[in-house]
Amino acid sequence: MRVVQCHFCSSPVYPLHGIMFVRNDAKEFRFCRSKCHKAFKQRRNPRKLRWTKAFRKAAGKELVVDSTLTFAARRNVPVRYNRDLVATTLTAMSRIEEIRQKRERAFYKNRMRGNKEKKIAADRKLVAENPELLRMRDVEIRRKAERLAAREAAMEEEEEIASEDMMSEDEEMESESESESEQVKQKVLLKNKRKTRA
Amino acid sequence: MGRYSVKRYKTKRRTRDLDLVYDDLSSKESIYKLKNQPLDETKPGLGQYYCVECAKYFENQLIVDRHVKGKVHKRRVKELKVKPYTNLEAEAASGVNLLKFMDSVEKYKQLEQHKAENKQEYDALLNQKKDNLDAIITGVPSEEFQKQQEESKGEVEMTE
Repeated sequence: MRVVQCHFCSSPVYPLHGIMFVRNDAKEFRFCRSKCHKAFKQRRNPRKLRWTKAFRKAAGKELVVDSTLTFAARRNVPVRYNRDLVATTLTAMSRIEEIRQKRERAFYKNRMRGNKEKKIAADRKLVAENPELLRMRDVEIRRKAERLAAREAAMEEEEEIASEDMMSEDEEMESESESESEQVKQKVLLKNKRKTRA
Repeated sequence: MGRYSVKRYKTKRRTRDLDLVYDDLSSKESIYKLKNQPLDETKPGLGQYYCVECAKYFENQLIVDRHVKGKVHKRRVKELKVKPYTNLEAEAASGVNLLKFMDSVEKYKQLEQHKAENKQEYDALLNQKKDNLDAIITGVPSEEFQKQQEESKGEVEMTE
């Protein structure tokens, strides 16, 4: 089984997958899916499209030149089967993959180094250049305080109204507590409802 | 056939790819061969007025001159200034045949250097002007063409 690379995005193309275009000079172009085929037909440059492997390599986002990447290649000389050779190759493959992953990780970390400091510096610069941003925060705090004050004032008013009601309804029964008065209110409401239903 | 049309993108009508055009431009012989093709009545202008970068035939020299001044041609020349994308690069990006790709990059750099060193000769071949069709077929240069040649020669002497 031979796994080829997509001409456009460099992803593996397995047998029975994708589509092939043969140019009139007999050059083969394999594509993993219609997305890549269409882009090729529209003459897009894979180096300029962010989702392709070619872009990531060309823009320095990934490890490009490395000794671990040089092993996979087409060798046009057939090798006679040898049990020991196959065994050593198999162990070597996993070991190489391990090393490659380690190096890629290191590359990524190195690429991302200093990003935090850069971001903080950019934020500082933004605030320094636009002092009104800090004033916006002041306005927010002031509005919040105003809202809180308004809510408190409303609560106090409600309490006053409730106490006034109590005074008017329960003038005779002075000794009753607030909870009892509320129960009475509910009963009155229920009675009213029954009346409306009837 | 507008700017975006499915008909334009059919592989049936595929025009010459950039990597092939780059090969055309890589040697003086190939440029000379394309600029001086045998008379072919199936091609526009009998195949005498060809733009190598755009892989296009034109009817006469006047139209070629206009085309060279235009946006489409300039864009194409700009595209040809970088290394053309090939399958080798796609393979190298996924870690297959990397050494082969490195060799091709090395070759490309050498060729570019060679081109930069012999820029005048390359440009002279690419920008060569041609007489009208009657003159080419009969072999007798027209008066206008002779005048133009003299003028251009005079200009060159003036600049030098």
